[in-house]
Amino acid sequence: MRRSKSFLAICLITAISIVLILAFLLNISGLTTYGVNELTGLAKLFVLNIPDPTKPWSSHAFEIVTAILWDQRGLDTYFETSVLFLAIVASVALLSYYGRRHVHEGTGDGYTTMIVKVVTKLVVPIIAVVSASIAIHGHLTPGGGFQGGSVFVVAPVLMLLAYGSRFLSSRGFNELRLLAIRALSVTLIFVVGLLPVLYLLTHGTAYLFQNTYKPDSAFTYPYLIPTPIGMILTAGSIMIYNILEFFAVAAGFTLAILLLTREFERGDKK
Amino acid sequence: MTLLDIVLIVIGEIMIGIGALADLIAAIGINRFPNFYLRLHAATIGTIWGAFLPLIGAAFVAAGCECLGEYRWFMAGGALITAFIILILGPAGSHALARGTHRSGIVPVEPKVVDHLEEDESMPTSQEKQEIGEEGGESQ
Amino acid sequence: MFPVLHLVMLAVVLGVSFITIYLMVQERDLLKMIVLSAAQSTFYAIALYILLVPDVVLAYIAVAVGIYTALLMFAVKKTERFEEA
Repeated sequence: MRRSKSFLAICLITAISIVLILAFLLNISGLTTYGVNELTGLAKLFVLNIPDPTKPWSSHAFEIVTAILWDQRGLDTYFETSVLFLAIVASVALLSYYGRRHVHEGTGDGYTTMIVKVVTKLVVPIIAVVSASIAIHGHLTPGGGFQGGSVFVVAPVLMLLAYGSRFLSSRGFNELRLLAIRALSVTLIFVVGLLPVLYLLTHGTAYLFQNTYKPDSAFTYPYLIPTPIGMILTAGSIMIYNILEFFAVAAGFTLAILLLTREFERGDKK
Repeated sequence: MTLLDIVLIVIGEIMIGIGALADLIAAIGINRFPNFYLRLHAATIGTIWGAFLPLIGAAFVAAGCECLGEYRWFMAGGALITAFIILILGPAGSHALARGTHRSGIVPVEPKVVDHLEEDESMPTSQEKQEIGEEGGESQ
Repeated sequence: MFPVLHLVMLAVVLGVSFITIYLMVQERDLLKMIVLSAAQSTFYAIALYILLVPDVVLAYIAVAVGIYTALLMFAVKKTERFEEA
């Protein structure tokens, strides 16, 4: 089915002009924040309070998005993580082959060349380091646990495409271990969020998923840790949450991709 | 601004200019070449001459621009690392693309003078022979 | 201030992604559709970067270009490659 070229050209011109008109309407009406130098409403509250250590409701983190995700609405993010965990468990239940022998576990070596393998070997460490830095610096620069974890998953995808699933399995990336890392990380996130409640039972006021001290609660995670080389800003529990979420997301997605690749390598033989 | 800075900026700008020209040539090539593999060749010109070289040029410009202060070294380093990653990823990606396309046989090699890869693939290597033997043994 | 350059860049990027979506909907070959979807995600990531949301860009580009494309490739491999008319 081939349309004429003039029809396609008219479609393209219409699309571009629609987008241009919409963009300029948005700009003229002032709906976009361009040209607005004043903060309004909720944004003012967040931007002025979260990064400022002198304010009583501060999170001691410079990255406001991550701070809101793990401090102001931490319980919400925890349930997001558990929903993803349930999805991974469901896919494992569908695709896993426990108790069955892996007859066609994928030879894997047949369909890539030396060039691709060497370049993959060069690029995978770079991806791992970048993703770890995104996750660990989540409270200072744009990023966080989920972002770092989903960047990390690109590395196993490349390895699976270049070397096949047997290579990764023999290097310790087996299903049981990945699922264990995933479950352990999600549990630890909840434990870290639950610690303030234990404090509440013995000492005084505290809140679920509380990060640093509040005006009516003295409970706080250490947010400035002195070390021999200087002070390290960890932003309370936000850094712990980011690292745990990084492991959870990376292990979960790697598990799903690993199972799917194994299914892919088995081919159409039923 | 010293003489070295000016020289760095001029060299960087020349590199960026070459990159723009190479991108134009690559675009013309993608539109005009008759064959998938030749078009891939044109696209690779766009990756190396049109992305790697301008990034090196951008690193030079950033290193020579005093107005950026200390941050110019961060910008130059970032540009150099990105250029290195493109340098190793671009050829490997186009190689994998060409090989995958040839193996799956979606695109006919036409107009063709000689196709050594096809001649090599028509006779199975020793490894493939071994695999065929193994699979035959398993299915029985 | 009237940063027209940002708006023009945004308009160009979103226009190209609109064209990609049009081609994607018209396409019958599912593998080509997946490649076009990855291209559209790239343009959306650029648009999100212009709109100053680097947090979303980091998650979006890894999921939409890497993981999502790989998952769809596996799905197509297991089913039909060509959409029936």
